[in-house]
This record gives sequence, C-alpha cells and structure tokens, in this order.
Amino acid sequence: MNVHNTYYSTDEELEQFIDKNHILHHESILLQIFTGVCNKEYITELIQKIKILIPHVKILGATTDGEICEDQVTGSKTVFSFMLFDSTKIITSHATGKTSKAIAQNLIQSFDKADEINLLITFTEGLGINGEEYIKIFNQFNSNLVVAGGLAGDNGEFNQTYIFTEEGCFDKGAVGAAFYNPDLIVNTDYNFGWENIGKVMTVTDAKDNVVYTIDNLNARAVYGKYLGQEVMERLPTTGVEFPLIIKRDGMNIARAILAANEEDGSLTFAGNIQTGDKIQFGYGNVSSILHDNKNKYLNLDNQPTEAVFVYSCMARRRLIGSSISAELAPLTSLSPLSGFFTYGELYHDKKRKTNELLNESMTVLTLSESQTDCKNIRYKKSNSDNNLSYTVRALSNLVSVTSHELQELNESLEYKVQQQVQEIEQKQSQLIHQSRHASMGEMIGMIAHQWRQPLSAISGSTGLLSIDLMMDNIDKEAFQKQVDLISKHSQFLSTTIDDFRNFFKENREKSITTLKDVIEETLTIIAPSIESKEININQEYHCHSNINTYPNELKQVVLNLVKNSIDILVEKEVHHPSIWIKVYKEEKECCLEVSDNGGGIKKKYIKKVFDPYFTTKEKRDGTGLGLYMSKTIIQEHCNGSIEVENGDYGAVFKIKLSGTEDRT
Amino acid sequence: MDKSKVLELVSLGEHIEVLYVEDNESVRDATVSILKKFFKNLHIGENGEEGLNLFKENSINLVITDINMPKMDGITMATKIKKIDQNISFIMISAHNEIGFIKKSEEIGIYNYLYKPIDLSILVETALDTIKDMREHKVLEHECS
Repeated sequence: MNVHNTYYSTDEELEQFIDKNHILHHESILLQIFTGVCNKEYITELIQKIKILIPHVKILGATTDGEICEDQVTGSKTVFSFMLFDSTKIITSHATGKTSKAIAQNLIQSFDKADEINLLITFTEGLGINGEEYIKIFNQFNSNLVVAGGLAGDNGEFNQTYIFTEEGCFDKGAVGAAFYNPDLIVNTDYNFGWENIGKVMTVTDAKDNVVYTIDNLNARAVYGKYLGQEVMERLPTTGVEFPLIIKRDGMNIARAILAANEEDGSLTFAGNIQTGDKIQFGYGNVSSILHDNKNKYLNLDNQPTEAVFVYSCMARRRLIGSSISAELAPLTSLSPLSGFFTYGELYHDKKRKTNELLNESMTVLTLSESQTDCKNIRYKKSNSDNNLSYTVRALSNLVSVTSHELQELNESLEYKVQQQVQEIEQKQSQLIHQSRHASMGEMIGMIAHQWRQPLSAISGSTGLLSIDLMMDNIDKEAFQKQVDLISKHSQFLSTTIDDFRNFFKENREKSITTLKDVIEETLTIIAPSIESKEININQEYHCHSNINTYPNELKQVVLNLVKNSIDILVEKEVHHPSIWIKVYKEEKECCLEVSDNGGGIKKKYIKKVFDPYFTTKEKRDGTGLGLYMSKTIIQEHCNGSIEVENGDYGAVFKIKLSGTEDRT
Repeated sequence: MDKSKVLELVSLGEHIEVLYVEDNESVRDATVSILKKFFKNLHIGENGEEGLNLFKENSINLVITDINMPKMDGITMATKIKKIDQNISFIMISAHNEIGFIKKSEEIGIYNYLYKPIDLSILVETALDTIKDMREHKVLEHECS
C-alpha cells in the first residue's frame, strides 16, 4: 500500500497533489483528515470538494488540538493522509447513541460482517463521551479486534468538536473506518513516560470518572497534602504534569484531571476510575520523556511498516511544548507518518488482548499490507549529559523507597500495637475476674461469719425441742418460745443474704447519695468483724452534699479501706485499735478520709500500694488487688482521685469526689 | 439423735455435779439451756479463774469447759483442777482454731472433747462415754480402797 501525507493549503495544490501521486487510480482509498479548523461549514465544503475530485474516496476525520505531518506539529491547520490499498476493503460509518456504550454498539453493528474486521480506526466526539465506556464495548465484541484512534479535540476551547466521513460532518457520536484484510499487519505501541512517584494509595470513593476520596481523604486535598497548596490550587492545569497513575493488570494507565471541585473536593478525570483502584501520582519530566529512548516502541521495531499514525494527547503537547516533535523523530524513519492530538487516546494492547482509553499518552499505529518490508526505528543516542532526568529519577527513587519503608514500618507498628492492646485487655479482664473472685470470697466469708451464731442458736433451739419431745416434756409456752427464736434467727439469716446481695450488686446507673449513707451502710456489713475485734470506729461528718455516683462501687472501696485497716490493726496487735472516718469539703470537692493507728506504710512501699498484685499482708488472703480495684473504681467510674500518705498514727487514705448539690 | 441415749443421759445426769465454763455469753446461755435438760446440778463459770474457784467450793464430778478464755484458759484450769483431784472427768470444748489442744489435753490425761458449735447428738454420746468411764473408775476405786 502507499501513503501520501500533505498539508491542505489551496484547492489547486490539492488537485496537483492528487495527480502527482496517481491517487485516483486506486480502488480502495481511505483519506484521514486532521483539522484544527473547528468549523462545520468549512469541513462540509472540504468534503464536497474532495468527493468531486475523488468520487469513490472514503473519508475519516476529526477536529484536533494540534496536527501532525511527518515530524511537524502544527495547530489550526489541516492535514490530509491518503492511504491507497491494494488488498484491503474499507468501510466507513457514523453512529450516535444515548450513552457512550450505545454509540459503540451502534457503530460496530453498522458494519457488514463485523467479525471479519481486522482494524477499526475510530474518532469520537471530544466532549460529551466517556471514552472508557465507549472502547470497552469493543472488548466484549471481539478481543482480537485492534481499535485505534481518539477523541476529537478543538484547540483547547472545550466548546465543540467535529468528526466526519465522506457522508458528512457530525458534532455528536463517533465515526469509524473498518479495515477488512486478514493479512494486514497491524502493530501498536504507546509512549507515556510519566514516572510513578510517592506512596501507593487507594481510591476509597469514586463514581464513573469522578473521584471523591483517596485513602478516605478528600481527593483534591490529597493533591494539596502531597504536592503542596500551589499544585492543588492550580488544578486542573497542574494535573497535566501530575496525573494519577492507575495500576491495572501490570499496566500503568494515566488519568488526566479535567476539573477540580473546590466545594466537595472531588476531581473529575478523563476516564473512569473505580473505588478500590490502586493509584500513585505521576510526575511528567519533559527531559526524561523526550530523551529516554530505551525500550520505546519495541512493538513497532523491525516490523513490516508502510504507514504510521500517531494519536497523541493534547496534554502532552501542552506539557512538552515546542519540543514535542522530538518525540516523533524516531518514528519518521519507519514510513510516512501523520496524526493528531486528541482529548483521549484509544489503544489496543495485543498482549492482554484489550482496548483501553489512555490519557497523556502517545499511541502509535503501524500498518502494512506487505509482509516483508521491515523497518527499524532510528533511536536517537540518549543524552548522557542530561543530569536533570538523572536527578529526577534519583529523587523519584528516594521518594519511592522511603514511602515503602514508612509503609512497612507502619504495618509492623500497627501489628505490634494490636498485639499489645490485646495482651493488656486480656490481663485487665483477668485482673477484674480475679478481683471479683476475691470479692466474692470475702463476701462468702463475711456471710459465714454472720451466719455462725444464728445457725448455732437455731440448732440449739431444735435440740432443746427434740429433747423435750423425747422426754415427753411438752410445755406449750416453752415450745412457743423456742419456735419464735428459730423464726427470729431464720429471719436474720435471710436479711444477711439480702444485705450482702445488695452490697455486691453491680451498679449499672449512677444515683444520688451522700458519703455518710455510703459509709454507714458499709459499716453495717462489716460490723460483726469490728465488734469481735473490739476496734474503735470514729466517724466525723462535716459535709452532707449529695453526690451523683455509683453507690455500691463506692461502698466496696470503703469496705476495702476499712478492712485493710482492721487487718493491720489485728496483725500488729495494736492496743486500743482505732479507725477514723472523716467526711469534709475541700474546694467544692467532697473528701473522704479513712485512717487508723496501725503505724503507717513503709516509705518504700507507699508508692506501690495501688499497683495490682502488690500486698504486704503475710496471710493467704492478701490478693494485692483491693487497692488497685479501689483506685480503678474511684478514677474511672466515679471520676475522682485517691491517694495515701502516712499520718501521725498510721496510714491516711484520702478520696476526692465532685459533688452535685449542697445539702448543708 | 437416739431417744434411748437421751433418756439414759437424763437418768445418769441426775446425780452428778457438773461445772460448765464458757466466756461467750450467748454461747454460754444456749449451752446452759441444753445442759440443764440433763444435769440438775449445774455450776456455771465465765472464765478459767472463776471455774477454778467454783470447783474448790463445790464437789464437782464433771467439768465441761471452753478452751479459749480470758483470765485463765481451759487447759490451765484443767491442769490445776487435776492437781487438786486427779479423778475429775473433763470434756474440752474447742472452736476449731486452737492449735494442738488435743495433744495438750492428752498430756494431762484428757481425751474427750467437743467442737463448737455443739452438735447435740455428739454431746449426748460424749457425755455418756465420759460418765460411764467415771463410774467404772469409781467402782475400781471403791473396790481397791
């Protein structure tokens, strides 16, 4: 096949061009037109003119954001690329539709024997279409079908694009040229060149082509966080240099930002992004893009090539600027080359057998009817003096490695913390369990103590009654007396149980009480122990404020403190053993002091008394948990404080609670 | 409780003089109500010292005493009583927390004891055993002299 490219200037020059190249003689002709003149009338007139000159021509065209002819890049001009086929049938078509998917479906269905198509070059409207949804339809149709082309442009006006065939000029939908030739050699490749930089992030909320959050942070803010305020504020312009790179199936696909919403922090892209996509920032370094020649266009090297078409991205042209033609240079050695800058590139990946929408990429399509005409790409010698690209790569590497290390560190830390927390929670619940256990043990001990005497009395009464019965000594009055005694003692047994039950019931809710009530109720429970040991209890109440707290929990704390005092007084066999309980107000806080004349706590222990498992009791019933639980109750449940110091005669425990009203 | 044993104790207990010593008032009162059913002649003391004095002033056959008491404990009192008359019978009452009282009792020849709170049937049995031992001893003595 033959390819002839030219710029359109005048009708006469066009006629001459057609003559010179014997274009008319060929039966199968496809004329691709890339024009920067976004004017419907102009285009329609052009089509008419050409049809007069070449009645049987097939036309496929689009408006652009820049035209390519060989190694020249222009804007607002018109490029003609005539393809003269020997063995390929060409059919062109136009399709519209309600959705992007519908347009693609309608287009492919408009072709006869669509399953025999080897290559489809298609241009779509530039603005209203979702390129990704459009191209994915072709994947479903036939994964071997090579799709190439792009979204039409309009010189960055974002106003109105046009696509056309020989049938006319259209502002909506898509046009396509289907190539029928089983022996047609088609190769594709693309150049991107942006480097991945920074940590891998996850899209946490996206719909179609709008991303709301990344790593659960507002998308626009993520740009601000990692790339700085300036970049964020100048989105979407700065988005060209820093697109998002999505990692999908081993391929890095760029997505350019079309718009940034200040209000909801969302970013709109030129292609769909899904929730769950792994992304990174891309950094476009012009030098490295232009001068890195390694591994470029490998798919196209040493392949039969008779025509080269470049569908590149307007973002690239705008970033790289006037040096853009340097990108094209290596390819011009292959064959006649033409193309244009699109608003989105359509690319076929042969290895993965899929068609993708790319952004910010330069896609290249080569064709050949001949099987043997192999061409080589003339790679430019890479500029080893290019310190800038070396530097950028080094920095990029630094960022990447540091990010990675941080991520690993984070993960291992998170794991360690989780482990520790679990351990602590387990220990806590163990402690609470043990403490409850100890409490219950104590309670049972106290119940037993209180029950001994009444039980003994009941036993005595029944014994007497029994003996009288045996001796036939039945005195009604005596009987009644004993029966009453039994009844009275049984009552006492029952009351004891109730008292203890209430005392040890867990409080679910706070209620209002006074410290005096709490103390008196506690002393009732512990009274037998105190009496039997002949310990003196002194009570002083200077504050009668109501407090809103958990009464039973507080009673347990008082019980614990008083019991500790009793134990030390008994252990040391103190003469005139005494316990003082004082309630008073100190700066709006209710204070409760429990002190004894047991001699105090040794200096080296006094700081440790509230630690779990710490006990100075020699006997087996020192669990070491009483004061620890008391402190936990006071601090965490009752929102107060507890401290200890040595007074004149012994230890002094002081509890502070905040009151609610004053009753005094 | 065995009715026959109860009646037997009532019958035997009619003729002996018993000394009961206990410091705890309520325990003492409860036990006295029971002992009175069996022993018509019951002397009551509140501690070891008082018990010793009561012994000296009366002709006691059987001493039932608590061990842990103020002023003079049960074992000391028993030792002193035995010095005066080694033929007196004893029943010791323990609250379970006196260490080694069984050994101490045996050292001065006392082998009968009860635990608090007093189980009535055990009291009846022990009292019967003690009294029977005492009578045997008396018979022997009588026979010997």
